[in-house]
Amino acid sequence: MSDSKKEISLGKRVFRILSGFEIAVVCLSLLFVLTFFGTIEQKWFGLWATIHKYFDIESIYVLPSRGDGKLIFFPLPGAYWVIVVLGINMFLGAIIRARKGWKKFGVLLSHCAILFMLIAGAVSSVTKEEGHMRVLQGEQSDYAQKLFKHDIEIFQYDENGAREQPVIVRSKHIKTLGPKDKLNATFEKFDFTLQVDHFLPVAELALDSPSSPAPEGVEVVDGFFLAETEKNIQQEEANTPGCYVTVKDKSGGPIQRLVLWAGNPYPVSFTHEGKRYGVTYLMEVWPMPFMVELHKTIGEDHPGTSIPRWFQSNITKIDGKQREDYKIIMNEPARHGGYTLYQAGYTKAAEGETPSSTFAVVKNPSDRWPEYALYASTFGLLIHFITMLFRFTGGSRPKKLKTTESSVS
Amino acid sequence: MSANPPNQVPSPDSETKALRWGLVIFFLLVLFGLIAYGIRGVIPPTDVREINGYSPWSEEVVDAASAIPVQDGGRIKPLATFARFKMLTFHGSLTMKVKSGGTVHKIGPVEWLLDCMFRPELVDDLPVFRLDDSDILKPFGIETQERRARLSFNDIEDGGDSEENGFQKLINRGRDLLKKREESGEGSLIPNEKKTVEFAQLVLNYTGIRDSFDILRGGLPELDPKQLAYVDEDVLKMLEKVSDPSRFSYWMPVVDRVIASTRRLETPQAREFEYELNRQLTFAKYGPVVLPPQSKDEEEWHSLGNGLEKFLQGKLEEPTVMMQDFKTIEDLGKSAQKPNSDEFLKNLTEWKDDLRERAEARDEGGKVDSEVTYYERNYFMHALIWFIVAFVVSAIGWIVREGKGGQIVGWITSILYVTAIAYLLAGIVHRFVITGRPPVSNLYDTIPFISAGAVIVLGISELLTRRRILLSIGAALGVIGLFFAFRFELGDAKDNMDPLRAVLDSNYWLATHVVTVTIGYCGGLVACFLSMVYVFLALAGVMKDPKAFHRFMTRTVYGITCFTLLFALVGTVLGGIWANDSWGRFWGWDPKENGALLIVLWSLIILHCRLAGWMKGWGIHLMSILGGSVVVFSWWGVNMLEVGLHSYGFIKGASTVYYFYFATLVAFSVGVVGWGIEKFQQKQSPKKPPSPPGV
Repeated sequence: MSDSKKEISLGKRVFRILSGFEIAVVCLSLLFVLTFFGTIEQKWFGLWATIHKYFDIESIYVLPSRGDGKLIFFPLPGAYWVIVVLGINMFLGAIIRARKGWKKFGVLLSHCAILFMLIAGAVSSVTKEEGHMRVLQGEQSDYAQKLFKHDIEIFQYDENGAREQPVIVRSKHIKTLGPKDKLNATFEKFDFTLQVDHFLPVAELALDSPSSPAPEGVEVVDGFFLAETEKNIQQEEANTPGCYVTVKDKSGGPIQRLVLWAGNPYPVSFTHEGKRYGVTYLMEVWPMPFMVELHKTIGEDHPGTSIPRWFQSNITKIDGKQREDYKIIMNEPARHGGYTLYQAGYTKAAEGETPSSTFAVVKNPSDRWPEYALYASTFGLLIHFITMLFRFTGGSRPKKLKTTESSVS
Repeated sequence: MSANPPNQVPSPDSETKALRWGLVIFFLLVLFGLIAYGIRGVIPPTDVREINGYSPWSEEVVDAASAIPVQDGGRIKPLATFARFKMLTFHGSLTMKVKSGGTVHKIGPVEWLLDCMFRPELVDDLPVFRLDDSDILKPFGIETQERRARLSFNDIEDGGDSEENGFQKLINRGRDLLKKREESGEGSLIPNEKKTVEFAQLVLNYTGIRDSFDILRGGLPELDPKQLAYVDEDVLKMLEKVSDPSRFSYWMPVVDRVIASTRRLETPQAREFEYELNRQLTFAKYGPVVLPPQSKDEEEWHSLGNGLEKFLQGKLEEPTVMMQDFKTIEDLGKSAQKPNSDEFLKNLTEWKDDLRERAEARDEGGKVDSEVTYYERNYFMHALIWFIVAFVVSAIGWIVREGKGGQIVGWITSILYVTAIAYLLAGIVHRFVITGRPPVSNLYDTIPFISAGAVIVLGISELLTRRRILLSIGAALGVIGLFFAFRFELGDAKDNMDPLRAVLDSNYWLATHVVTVTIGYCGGLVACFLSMVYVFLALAGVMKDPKAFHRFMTRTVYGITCFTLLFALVGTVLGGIWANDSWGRFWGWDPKENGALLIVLWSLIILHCRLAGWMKGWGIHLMSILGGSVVVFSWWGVNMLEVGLHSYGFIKGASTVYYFYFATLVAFSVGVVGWGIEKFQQKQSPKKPPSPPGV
């Protein structure tokens, strides 16, 4: 026995460990615990914060905690990485190492399908893009906005007051700033720089007035200041960031101090060397390769209630010279060229107003993969379990009906 | 989990038998204590009030009223259903008892609503309000003998002091607390304050229903129409055309001008008249929505108040029809002075027929009769009774198990079991016919569906294995499931046949995702109960052939775990695909999604441990028992977190699930003890030869 053990090479041993049941069960158990804590913590910290904490690619390890922040479990590895290890284990153990044959066909197929589903999840987490597009009835739109990413855009106004092509400071550079951090942005196009500071991830723009003056130590710019507010744990999109910005000339001298808040749809402006500039801090604009024209948005509530019964948007997708009509209703999105449009909301128009539809736009190459994986895994599991059921019933029924070996004495 | 050969279940040993039985009895007492505690919370205190002059409504009157179509919760339903859920909201039960002239009368939902509509002078004495914590009323001078109590409106009003009565004090306090909540957030109220707000809202809603017909009861203070002529001569001219000033229909055509005129009159009578008229017009909006709209394009029916508003705004195609409706209800109110007179029955029947005709002309209310029949047949109560009887007979079968007698008992058990299933399925199918959607559209629906699934799975397993024990377990599960369904309906007090919101209204997805995942729940619970039964019987050591029993139960639980995995996995992925089509993402780590995933992961852990040889007999049973808690967490627990996109499934309270968690912990402990004893016995007799593998 010991001789045969010695004969196993290191590579094989590593392979056996990686493909073994031990890793499978440990990963499944860890995933169970992580999912459990990642569920109950949502009660205290909300959906988004908990998802980022437990299931994001950046989460190498997590510390499950209670609403008061106290640790309720020892540190655990991040769920994303547990799934990666489980995927490798499944590939090596259930597909490469497992015995092949017709009897094992069902198990093999279902494992392949589940692995494919995990790959679909990985592809989605890396490549998926999503945003929201609001279109007024009778109007067109060719861009969506990303709800959780806010960019600073700086642009020059031409002589007619129209905006020229903007330069952008991306959300990823801003959102990592602490309250005391500063970000310096320089632009080839402009002969001034921007310094971003006092970034607040959840804030509101407040007016400094005698009835509600700015707290001591908080900077007031043009009569306004940024007030830090409590994070909305139920609706991440309700959390609006803000920051202060200093426009500096090339020598570093301040030109203008601005306060930016992502809830303000209007640009704040300044003048430098006789030219007028505007700065906005808004959700990242995501240009679409097609135009969406909304012909009609219709929605009804169940009579006498405010429970939505039905809604529909009639749209045309205009892709170059190609026009294609779609009806988007609940549970039936429009799919086109890798993009999917879902009805995320609609507003009924009051008298004199125009109704609008808000579409969730998603670009996900693995959009339909889970569906294909489902068919394969169901088929595989059905074959396997039905075979097992036949074996079970063959060996479980007593030979004589009168036998009462298992009855209570 | 270390390896544990499942076949080494020793025969009961005389040395440990007493200990085993002692432990079994102890654990059973804990379990029964738990159940008894749960039932105590369900059964509200009974309070038979003496109400002089109360005469019950006749059966014919109740039948006629039951089938009146009303619009509520976004659909047309029978008045009986409307009354049922209103009474559950206030009273927490479907009957109340009153004593009159030495006779005890049972008042059901329709009778109670008829009293509210036509005999309000009696309803304020009825013990309408169920209160689980009477401490909250002490600050308002309302005292009760026990903490749990049933109160009438008059009991509440009698509290308070010379400045404000108990009702006024309660409502004012409720308003203050609501204001506090608005200003400082949900967390600013302590539990007793939240209960006070809820109770104040409940009492206010009651007064809304009670007073909604005031306008047609002729209860306006006296006001000489000639007084109005001083400020509006036309009013008098118009009023002169109508005959009876004591009826609202007398004022109805000019009510807006009457209000305007009374405002200009400076007399106290005019002030009183104006106040009362405005109050009655406001409350008229809170009653049952019984008047069909006149326009075919309009879907919203009208309460008396809303109908009157439309009438006064001149938005009705046929105002005379509305006036006729008001006169009819006035006549009903007058004839209700003799509640069981032929005149009242005739008026009521005519009104019902008229409303139904108008509803049918609009293609509405076609299922009103069917729904009345559904509740009258009370399928689930019948199923519950048959399951109880089946369980009792199957228990007799444990004693009379051999020979002809055993066979007869077996047959009777099977017939009773099938009868119970037939009632259960009939109820589910009838609901499906009424709602026109798959029978798992909301949390309530899932309870009878899962109960049916569990008893059918166990019935089929019995058919395949012929061990009899499975029918006993199935019957017990049926009783527990249906008891839970009643408990939930009482506590929730919401009409669970109301229409669904748009995103859920997809028969395809309800029939695939929800049905599949619910069958998965069902499998997990069946496996859990089988394992619970196993550990108790194994600990007691009462099996004649423990090895065979152990082998059979373990194989069955393992098979059902495979079944659970298949359905939970398919259901979960189908849910992901539905979410992808609705919300644009396949998986969002939403609590409800996570709950389903937990069942899949738990089943996978069991199957992989079994495959690796680390978990056999006891291990599988212990894991399966805990798996029951995982299922209940997924089914109910996540809804109580009140976060995520599955907001339509949120519930408050549902404390019954905690009893279930506790019960699984007790059973798990029993299993650990049983396993320990077995290990101990194995150590004591190491020479025992190994037996063939159990699974």
